[in-house]
Amino acid sequence: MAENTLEVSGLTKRFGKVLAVDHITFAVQAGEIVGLLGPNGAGKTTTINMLLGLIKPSAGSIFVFGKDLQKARRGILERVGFSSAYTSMQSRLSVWENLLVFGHYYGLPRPQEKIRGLLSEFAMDGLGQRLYGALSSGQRTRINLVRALLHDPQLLLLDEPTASLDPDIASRVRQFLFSIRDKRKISMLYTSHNMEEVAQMCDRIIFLHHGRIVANDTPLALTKTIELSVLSLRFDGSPQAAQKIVAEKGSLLEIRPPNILTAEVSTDRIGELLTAFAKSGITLIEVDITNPDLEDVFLKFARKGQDEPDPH
Amino acid sequence: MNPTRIKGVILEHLYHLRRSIEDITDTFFWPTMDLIIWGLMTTYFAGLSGTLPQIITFLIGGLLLWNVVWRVQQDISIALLRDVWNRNIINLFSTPLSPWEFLAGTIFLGMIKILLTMGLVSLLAWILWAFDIFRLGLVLIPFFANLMFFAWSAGIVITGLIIRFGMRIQSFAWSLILLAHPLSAVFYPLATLPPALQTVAWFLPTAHIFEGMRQVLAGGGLPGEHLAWAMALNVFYLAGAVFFFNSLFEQARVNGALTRLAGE
Repeated sequence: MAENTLEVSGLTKRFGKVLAVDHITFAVQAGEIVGLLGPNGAGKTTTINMLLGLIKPSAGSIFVFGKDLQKARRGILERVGFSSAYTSMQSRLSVWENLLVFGHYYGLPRPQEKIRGLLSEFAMDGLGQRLYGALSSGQRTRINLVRALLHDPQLLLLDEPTASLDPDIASRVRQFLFSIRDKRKISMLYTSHNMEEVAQMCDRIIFLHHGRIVANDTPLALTKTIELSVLSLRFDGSPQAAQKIVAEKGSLLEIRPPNILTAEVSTDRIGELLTAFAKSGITLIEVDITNPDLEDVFLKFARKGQDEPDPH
Repeated sequence: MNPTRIKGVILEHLYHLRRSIEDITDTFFWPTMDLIIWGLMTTYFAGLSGTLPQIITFLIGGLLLWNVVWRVQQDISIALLRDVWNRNIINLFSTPLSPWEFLAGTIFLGMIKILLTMGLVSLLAWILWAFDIFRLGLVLIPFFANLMFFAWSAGIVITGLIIRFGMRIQSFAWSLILLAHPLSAVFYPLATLPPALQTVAWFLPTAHIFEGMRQVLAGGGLPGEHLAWAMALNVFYLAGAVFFFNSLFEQARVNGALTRLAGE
């Protein structure tokens, strides 16, 4: 069995009457990339802040590299990198100065070589002397990542690591994260609102809602929990007859001229529906099937939560 | 305490000093203006009463030494605020940097800056009013040290309060220490205060130092008793400040105030 980099057990955080995180238990193995998803207020940020030791848990335990975070926080943080799109660095310091300062905070007496290498890796060689405050948000996001990687961490806590990046740079960043994961078996806990990216990056996804874990599985397995696909058809024939077939096999979402129909159909009944059209004599000109993705999973859990009262 | 991390704190704020007009103003401009305005005013009033030299020395001596308390305390507390204003506070404490390493860095930085401030202002005082701070002799060293120790205690407590209670009390960083100013009897003998306040004032190390300063400038010899009291009180206050800061920082971790600072 693979060694766990991070083990969280019964982790709970209560702020007065508000239960922000409710007895969550999960682990991240060495080299594993785990997505931490959930709607706003689900408890993601509080969880990450507890993993950094910035918030003290009300109950439960956090073990990182086999050590208790409450007892060995500083030693653990020497091997943990954190990057968030929602934090900044000193705006009046240059990029180089900021990174040099953080190199010292991580206990590296001569981080210059490392900084040069990482700036080059993230296509930012020419920006070292630029003031941090003069950077675009995409450039800041990349510099935040460089900062988090300065000390060759073994666990990365990444909060929206590719926010504000253009697709080309975002892809480059993802490739880099994959490469360091493969080379050094770095574990990552990853939050993002970009579901496509999460599906691409993460080996496993933990969904949080109202502070609880409501799902913990691979992206594929989670996607399979959504049974409905969206079918879009352009046809030649009677709209009434087409509507009748759809009503028998699924549910009609929309029908608009010229004979375009959108319906929600159980994934395993799509074949039946298309056969029924063929038998009815309606000619299908165009068929488009949209299979469920992680965004549908996210919406399912988020909406489920909206329908249910907050247990706290 | 890791010296590399403390060096990081010093570097961060020294780099900032180079590019911050506000910081340069605080370090050099305000103390210079204070000296000029108070010096001129005292010259005028003292000229009216005919006791010019003595009053000028008391006032300028008080002004120079009060700068030690004010600037050192402010440097400690504003260093934290600067990281909050720049939304850097979570980044900072997500590294192995401990709050005590952070404070040690800001304390060291405060020492560098106050030496620069004192160097400039003392030179100006000598040029403009022939006031030689070194007339105080070697006793200047324990005076300076005690004022700095008191500023450290105040800076540590104020920083802890801001961490615990958030940015709504950020003005404490540059205002709270002024509560100690009238009680420290910086510009006048302590006997000027009402009797009840005199009793309170004797619990401030600064009051002992400024009384001692006037004793030396008036040719009254080494103020051994004042220095002993100041030192004893400083040991007590520093120990209290350390305890109080630890408690406030821990409370901020429990109630989430530390991470809320990032969003304020």
